[in-house]
Parts: sequence; C-alpha cells; structure tokens
Amino acid sequence: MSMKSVELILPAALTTPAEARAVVEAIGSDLPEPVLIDVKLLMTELVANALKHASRGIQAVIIRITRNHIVRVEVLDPGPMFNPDPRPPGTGTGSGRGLFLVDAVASAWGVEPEEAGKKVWFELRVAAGREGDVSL
Amino acid sequence: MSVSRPDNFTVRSGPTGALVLAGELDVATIEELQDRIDEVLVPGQPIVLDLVDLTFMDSSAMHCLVRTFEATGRPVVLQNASRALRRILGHMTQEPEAWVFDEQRQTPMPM
Repeated sequence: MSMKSVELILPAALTTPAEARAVVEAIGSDLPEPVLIDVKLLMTELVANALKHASRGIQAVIIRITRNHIVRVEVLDPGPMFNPDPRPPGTGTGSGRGLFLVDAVASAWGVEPEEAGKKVWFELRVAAGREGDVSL
Repeated sequence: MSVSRPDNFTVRSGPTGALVLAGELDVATIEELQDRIDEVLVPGQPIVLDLVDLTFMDSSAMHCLVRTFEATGRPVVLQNASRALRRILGHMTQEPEAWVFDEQRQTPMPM
C-alpha cells in the first residue's frame, strides 16, 4: 500500500460530507472494505460536526493513507476548541454527537488547536498486510 | 449554509407497505426520510424500512431510528441491510432496541 494523501478545501454545505466520502472512496479503493466503511462513517461525523461551526467554510479535510497501514483523517474548522469527552448517551445534540462513534471505532483520535480554530483527527489501523510492513 | 438537497437519496412506498430507501443517509438527506416517516407513522405499528439500495448511513440516521422507535413504541424493522450497513449499525450501540433486522427479507448480496 503506497502513501497517499489528499487535502480538500470544502465549502460549508450540507452536501459536503457526501463529497468527502466520494473522495475517500476514490483514494481508498484498495483498503479492506470494513476499513473503508469505518473511514467514511467517522469522517462523515467529523465533517458534519465541523459544519455546525463553519459559516466561513470548513478549512480543510486532510486524508492520509500511510505506508505503515494507518489511515489518518484530519478535519480543520474555524470553530472553538472543545473538551474531547464524548457525550454520554441521550445528549443527542451538539458537537459531541458523532464523537461517540469516533471514540468507539477509531484506533486513536484527538482535538488540537490550530491558528484559526481547531483540528479534529482520527486514525484507523489497517490489519497488517503481507509485503514486509513497517511495524508500528 | 446551503440548503441544496443532493439527488443521492430517495424514499418511496413499496408494495408491502415498507418505505424503500436508496442512496445515502446523512445530515443532507435525513430530513427527507424523517418527514416521510412522520407522514405514515401510526403509534403502535412498526415502521418498516427496506434498505435494499441504501449504501450509507451515519449517526443522524441512527437518531432518526431512535426517534421513530420512541414515536411508535415498536422497533423499526430493517429489511435487506447490506453488510456495510450492518457494520455501521453494529457500531451504534447506544440504543440497539430501536431497530430489528428482518431476516426473512434478507437477500444475500455482495457488499
């Protein structure tokens, strides 16, 4: 699996999650199907959360598939930082909503301040392949 | 925020009373499904969704299922869910009682 990276600058539109999924399908076509499904799901949740704060547009969605079998997705938006505690069940609104899924499914995730806003990222580990993979 | 609605989701009434879904469910399209469910919803009767041509759903779809379950008092019956959708729903462990798979209406299909 070769290193792939794509950076998208996306408008703040309801159709943006679907647009981002289409890009993931294109660049992640050689990922195992379950991994591709999970990447699409978690990215959709992060992009949808970013849309709530992104009247000026989501700054970027960065998708990287690295040589050592980690898929990393970063979503940058101009909204404020938040405490990365997923909300408990039943509090079904706000930016914490889809983070339950991110927390449950991702190998790792986090929130980091950026120059103008924040970056929310997650990583998914792809099951080790055959051809001399770099150990993690 | 744009209010444009993509063409990648449709809902229609099937011959057996199920709502037949096609395309993708997310923040852009969930309102269309919720509106349709609200139109046909009868308390005490389960809503049946045929997912035969649905390729994606996110947590907004899960919230729609939970809301529908609460309104009818019956789990939403899901027919013809692909492996992809089963995987996604399997991650949504918060309120698993809100839906049930109809294994009688499960045609084997490639993912």
